[in-house]
Amino acid sequence: MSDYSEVQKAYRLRPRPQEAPPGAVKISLQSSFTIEPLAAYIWKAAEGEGIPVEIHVGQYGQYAQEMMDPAGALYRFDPEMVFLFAKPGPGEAPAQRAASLEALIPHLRKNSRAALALANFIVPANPSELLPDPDAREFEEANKSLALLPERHPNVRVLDLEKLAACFGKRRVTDWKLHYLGEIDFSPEFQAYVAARCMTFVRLSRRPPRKCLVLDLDETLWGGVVGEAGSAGVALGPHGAGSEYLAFQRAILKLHERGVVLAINSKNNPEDAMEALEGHPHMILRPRHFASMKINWSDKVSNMREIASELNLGLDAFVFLDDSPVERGWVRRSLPEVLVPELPADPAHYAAFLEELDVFESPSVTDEDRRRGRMYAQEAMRKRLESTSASLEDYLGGLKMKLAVEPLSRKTLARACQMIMKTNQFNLTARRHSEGEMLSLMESPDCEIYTLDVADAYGESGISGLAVLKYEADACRVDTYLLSCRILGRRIEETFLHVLIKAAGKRARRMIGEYIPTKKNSQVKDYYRGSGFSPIPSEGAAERFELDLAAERSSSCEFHELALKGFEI
Amino acid sequence: MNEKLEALFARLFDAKGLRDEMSPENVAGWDSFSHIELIVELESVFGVAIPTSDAVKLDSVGKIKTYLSEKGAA
Repeated sequence: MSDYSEVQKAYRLRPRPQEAPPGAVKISLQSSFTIEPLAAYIWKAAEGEGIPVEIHVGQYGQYAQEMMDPAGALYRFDPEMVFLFAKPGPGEAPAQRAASLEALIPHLRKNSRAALALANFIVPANPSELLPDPDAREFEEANKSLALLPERHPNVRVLDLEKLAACFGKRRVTDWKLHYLGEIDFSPEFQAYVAARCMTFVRLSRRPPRKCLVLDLDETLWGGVVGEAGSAGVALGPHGAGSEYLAFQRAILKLHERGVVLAINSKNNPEDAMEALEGHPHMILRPRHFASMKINWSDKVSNMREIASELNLGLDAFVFLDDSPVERGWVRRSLPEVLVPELPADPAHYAAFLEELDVFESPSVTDEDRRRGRMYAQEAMRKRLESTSASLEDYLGGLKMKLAVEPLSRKTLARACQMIMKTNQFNLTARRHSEGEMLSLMESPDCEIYTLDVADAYGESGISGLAVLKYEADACRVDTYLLSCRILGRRIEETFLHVLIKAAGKRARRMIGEYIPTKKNSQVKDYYRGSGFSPIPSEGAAERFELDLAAERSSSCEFHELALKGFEI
Repeated sequence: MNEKLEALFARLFDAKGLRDEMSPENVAGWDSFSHIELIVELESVFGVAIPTSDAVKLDSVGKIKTYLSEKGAA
């Protein structure tokens, strides 16, 4: 039996509990052609990763009606994620279809919290010179306009189906038998390929993306062993042997420029390795690209732990690449939070493998993401100031910090949602609101959301703090309160809380703070107690604290220059 | 032919035995989607090409057997 029939049968016969398992991702597939078989592939891929999913498939060709009907099956299902695959009908201008797809977005927004992943159009291709595709350009133009949708519509992403089809091979995208039998546009193999890409979106709704790539050196960044061959003897260069390592380094550099933090974990004499990293004429990754370098004879697990604490990142933010299956197995067993992919045995496949790895990707790349590489370098300069300052006060004064607080806006929404997903340590409640939820909170009259922007003498940290205040009768409850770990230790929480207290005082008599313990936020366990709040009864693991807003005496920290944008306190 | 067909129905639908009157009405899982899988599998098992216009008519085991015989499949 073909793999296709196997997958479809397994999906048909899957156990269907009365209620979806807790934490299941609810996905709806909508399409202008038959999309049911793709559901089976997504389900299979999700099972393989241990992510429970519940999939709803829209009626054949009825996606527009389903998205417009507030009482229809789509909204009754209440998905968190909608995948929409629609293509221009015969004779229809692609631009026309793109416009009608955009017109559906407000309907989805009004009726659902779901994120939308909208597939763009596969550009028709024909190898014949005799039969060119007169409308290929129209499809390309329509795809360009679809690509701009996320800028206008929050919580919408584009699934680049055209790129997937091109990478996969357009001749193999459609199995004509299936197409004519059942209007199934995607061949079984392409369905599996598209499903893998859909899983990137599904995964991101459940776990934050990885932030740091940790690399071995010998046989990973270059061919050969530098301790034996010397810097000049390792394989790394533009032609022949060594060119695969050069391509791999280029692929790593691309990721770094998109904000991925780099580190080294290698068993070597540091002098030998540094000679190659600094001096080899073809080396692309130089010491300045790495936020941490552990080049020693310690075991790689200890090194990994040290890198994590040095960079102040959780182990689940790391990906480790090493050519040695022994080292990989050891790190994987000892530190299950670290992602340790099976690097291909042949370095010829390293670069392509990394480009398809797809675990660093952010749902939306913000200004803060692109700046991250530079920010880690600025942080090193701050550390130097700290070590040469006579006292903590000297250090904080020397930073010349500027804080700006501003109500959340469409412009800052993407960054706010990213912090909600990624902030673990200074995060009092760790509530992971989706972008859709944040949007409705932003528009709710009973809710105020503030973002905090931080800059100092060494550069801009960008938006680094977020608070969601909910007004309930005479109380203001702090639903969410978090600060990015890169600005901790500068008393910024004092000033931010002061602003929140003053803002709340205009509408409420008491402020209620919550602490919901997670694996990683124990450092803020006593935060409210230490800020003048008194404990009050609460249920479950959460702790609650209260502050009488009439009697409070908070002040901002003397080391911060504070600006309020668009509101007063 | 009967043995191959019975094995195919067992693989696709976990069906037991093979009777001419078996159809989407009485075989669990035989619907418009799995019908497509059935056609694709028939083509590969019996080495025949089944055009779409014929495929839509093959809605019982009896009809499938007659059709395959006409095509000279064994």
